[in-house]
Amino acid sequence: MKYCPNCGVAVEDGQRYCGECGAKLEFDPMPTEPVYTENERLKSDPVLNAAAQSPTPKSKKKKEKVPELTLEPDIWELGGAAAAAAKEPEKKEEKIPELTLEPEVWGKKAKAAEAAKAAEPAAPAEAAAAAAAAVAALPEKEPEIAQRADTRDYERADAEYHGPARDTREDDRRAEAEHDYERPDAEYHGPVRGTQGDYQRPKAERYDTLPNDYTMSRGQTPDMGDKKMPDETLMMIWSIVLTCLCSVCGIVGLVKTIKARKTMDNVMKYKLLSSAKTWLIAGTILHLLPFLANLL
Amino acid sequence: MKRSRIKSRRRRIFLSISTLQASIWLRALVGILAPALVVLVCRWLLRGGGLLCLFHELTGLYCPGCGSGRAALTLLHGHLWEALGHNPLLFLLGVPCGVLLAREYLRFVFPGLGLRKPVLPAWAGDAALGLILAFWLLRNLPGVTFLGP
Repeated sequence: MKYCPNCGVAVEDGQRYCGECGAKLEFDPMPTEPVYTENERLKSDPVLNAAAQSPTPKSKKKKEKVPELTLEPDIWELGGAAAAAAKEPEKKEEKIPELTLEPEVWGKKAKAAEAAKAAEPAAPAEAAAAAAAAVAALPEKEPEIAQRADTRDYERADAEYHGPARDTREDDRRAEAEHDYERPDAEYHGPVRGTQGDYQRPKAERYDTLPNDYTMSRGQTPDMGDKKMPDETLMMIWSIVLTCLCSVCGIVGLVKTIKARKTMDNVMKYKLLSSAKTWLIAGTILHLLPFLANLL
Repeated sequence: MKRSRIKSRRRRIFLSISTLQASIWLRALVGILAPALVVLVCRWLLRGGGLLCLFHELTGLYCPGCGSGRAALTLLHGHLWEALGHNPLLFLLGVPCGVLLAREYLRFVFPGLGLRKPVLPAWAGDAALGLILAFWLLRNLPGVTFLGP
């Protein structure tokens, strides 16, 4: 059984929030077993305790003789190096074959050198001749590879193996045009739609290329100035309710609203919705007249 | 050039503040008047007030809204089946649209509620109009009396 750390009410496993106080159970609810500190855990664990109690053998440290430090670090280094060299036997330096940018050549050369070495220990001159023969026996392509690698022209090498390099200038231009809102992107996507917040562009430029989209900012439409387009959803609901009360005006308003919904021309749409609004207002007033007269 | 910019900016701020104030006043007005009107109409209906139908007066035929006043009155008294008998269109279209209208009212008066604008499907208008016209036609047929008020 686990308990909420805030109010102490018992909570179920996997519960994220306390059902009593609503506290978020971010940490694990209080466990049933007591929580040990690190030392207590170590002490209680028999395996770890046994390991801790066993004595560790003291390692014998060799005292290394540190060379004398002088004010001349170069000499000291040399002295140190000399002392170290005096202790260790001389090591034969193995000649590492030259590494070039021609991995294949290097590999083949190394192999040829090894092959020459692995051969019978002939006279050095004969060995050199054998090595030279092995190098000469390399295929004809070697000089070409060496030349290509020497120039370090990776683009050209890439073109040779993967085809000619793609000209990305057209892509750059297209990408630049897509994000350039100053010019209409008619070439790729047609006339640019006006968006909310696009107040920087002049009105004429904005509306010249726009389709009849009445969802523009602030409900404005072209050729209507600052007049706001009536809400057609509200018109429709209102007309249906009014039909149940004053049918003639309600039906006329409903028909006009449906027509306006289907029209793509903003000017016609505005006219139809305004007319529907007029009919609906008239119908509402007409229907409420007896009530208003009675009230007065 | 700078002065004109400052002036236009100040004008815009002033207009936006005045527009905001106007919208607050408008919202307050609508928020108080609309429920008051609904309450007054219901009270008037309960006292026996009737709604005049010009179409019925002139032609003698029933319009789609005929009987809705009686239906609303019986509904206020709690008689659901009787209300349905007076005008079933009120329950089919009127009540759901009334609920949407109430939601629009809340959305307008209390914009902080974050209510979304209702989106009606494209066929909603055509379906509603077709239903209304069919109901209008059917209730005026000689044999069909159960649809009449």
